[in-house]
Amino acid sequence: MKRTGAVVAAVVIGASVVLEIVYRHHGHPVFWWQATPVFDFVYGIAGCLALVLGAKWLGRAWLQRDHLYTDEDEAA
Amino acid sequence: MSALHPAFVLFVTACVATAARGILRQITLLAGTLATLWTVWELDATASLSWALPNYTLHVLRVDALSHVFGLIFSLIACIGVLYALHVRRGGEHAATLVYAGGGLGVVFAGDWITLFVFWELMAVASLFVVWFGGTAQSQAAGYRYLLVHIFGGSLLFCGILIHLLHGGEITLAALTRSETPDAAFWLILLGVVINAAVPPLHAWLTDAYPEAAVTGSVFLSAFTTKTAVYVLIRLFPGAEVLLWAGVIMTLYGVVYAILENDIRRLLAYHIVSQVGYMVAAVGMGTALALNGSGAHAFCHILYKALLFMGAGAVIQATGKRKLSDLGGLSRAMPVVFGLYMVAALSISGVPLFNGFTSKSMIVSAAAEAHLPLPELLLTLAGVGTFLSVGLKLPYFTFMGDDRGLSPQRLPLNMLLAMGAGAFLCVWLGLFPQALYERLPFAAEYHPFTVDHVVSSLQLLTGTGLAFWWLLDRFHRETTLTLDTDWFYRRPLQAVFAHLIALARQAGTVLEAARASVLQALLPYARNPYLVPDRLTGVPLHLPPIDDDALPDGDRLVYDENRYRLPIGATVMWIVVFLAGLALVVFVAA
Repeated sequence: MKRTGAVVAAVVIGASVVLEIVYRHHGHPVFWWQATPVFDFVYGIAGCLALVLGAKWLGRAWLQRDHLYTDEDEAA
Repeated sequence: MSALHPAFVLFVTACVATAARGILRQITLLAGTLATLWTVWELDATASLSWALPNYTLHVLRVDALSHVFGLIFSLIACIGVLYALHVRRGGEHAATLVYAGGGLGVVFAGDWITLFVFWELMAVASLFVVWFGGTAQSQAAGYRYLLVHIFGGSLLFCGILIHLLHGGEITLAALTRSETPDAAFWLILLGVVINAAVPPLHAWLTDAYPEAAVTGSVFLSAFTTKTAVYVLIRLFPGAEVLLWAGVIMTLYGVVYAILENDIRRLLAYHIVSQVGYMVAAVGMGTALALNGSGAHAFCHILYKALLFMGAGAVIQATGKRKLSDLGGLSRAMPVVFGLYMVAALSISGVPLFNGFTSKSMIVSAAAEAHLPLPELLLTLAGVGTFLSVGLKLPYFTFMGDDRGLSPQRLPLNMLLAMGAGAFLCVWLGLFPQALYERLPFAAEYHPFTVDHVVSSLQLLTGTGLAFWWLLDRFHRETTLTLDTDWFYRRPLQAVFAHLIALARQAGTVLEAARASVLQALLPYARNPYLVPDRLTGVPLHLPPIDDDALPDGDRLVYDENRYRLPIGATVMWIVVFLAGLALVVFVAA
């Protein structure tokens, strides 16, 4: 399962980078990151890490509780 | 040209379906919703329905491209939702969902403020019953909180409408952002609408109530309330800058909470907040492309979100479990549900060739086109979070992961058929987005399948997938409750209410005691009015006996109330007759 995922990811990234380089002059980038190859791949990894770690930290520090409301709601 | 209002067709269907039983009810439900879809399909700009009142003419039906595209998706999802719920025997639930859908259609085809408000409130009431048909103590409690918030929102909207009309505003609906300076009416109406759009911190009613409805009811809930609010925002507040940032915050707010969530339907509900954020942000951008994107995303979102709720509902119905910590390894036992759920999950994540890609990328492109770098980056980041929670976390822990040895029950065929229909539409619109694009109201050209868009989307999703795989161990299931803004009205506000109620009860007890003592003091005088002059003057009243029965009691006369009952009663009767006659004369003369 993990190996299949890794192969699919590698193929997608490889193909997309080739496409990005071949079709570089066809797009209409507005911002610099739209013209930077593999930016979205890096942004996906970094964004996912930031969201998960940020949300977990926020949860531990503040948002997540064992008890919040009445017994009836805690049974939910 | 006078036309049949599609909401009317749904209301008639609701009445007939409630009265009918068995197969007859099922035929009524399907035929009625299909007839509604056909009625909407046949509507064009010439169709109208007006109702002249003394001061205003109400435009109950007004059709343009914007209302038509929302009307189409609302009637379409009513068909799919009814098919999904076809096995449900509670007639009341069918009636509530159909009236709710009819209210949604009423709002999008409303041409004036009064009609809009009436259907808006009808939706609130009907959807409350949809929540209550969850049939649990939790759904009842959540329903009351839902009611509280929507009464508040409806009141704000109504106050805004009244101020708007009092200031000489038009009765017909028109964009409020065209006027020079926003007034009190602008802000009140905006606030009333964004409560229904579930903009944080006014969103908690949604994530509180939607997961508590019946599995069939939450499919309808996911479609109508927030999307009618988006429709009203597009109609009334295009280009309101405050909405841009409210929308961007929404997208990330929902994503962060979804990461912490354990209940599968509540997780999906947080992603309603997140997805509606894209639409709200697009309304805030206000360009033709952005507004088209908002409408298109509402259209696609209704389809894939209903399919997600149908998938989650199928899991809950089959296993009786609703938390990720109780689920796992269902892909072998429920492969069809898994497959159909994944179609919706890939759609919401914006994978090319699925419908979410065709509309979400339009909004992100609109942000770039409008030169809004930070919103563009943050909306893209929210897309990462969407794939993470809905496309990876939820399906992994439900259908894969540790096998919990669950033995799911067989699902009714109609549920699977409805999911199949939803999945077909998600893929079809993903492959042929022009079918939707050509119905969009504003003049803007957009091509989704450019190398830029496709490559960017694939890279983003692959990156997210890899990071998820890497972090998988950190995703131990969350069994805690998450603090959200409903805390304010479930804890401090509830304490204030409880205090006020106790105060009112105390005042009532004091007043009751005072009333009793006053009555006690007056009682002797009511029994014998002759006592009044007696007590006032201190001199006992001496009156001759009226007849032989009234024997003097010592020096005083005994008062016999029966002696006066008839004459007083007769007088009162004649007064009533006279007043009734007078009222009749006034009524006839008027």
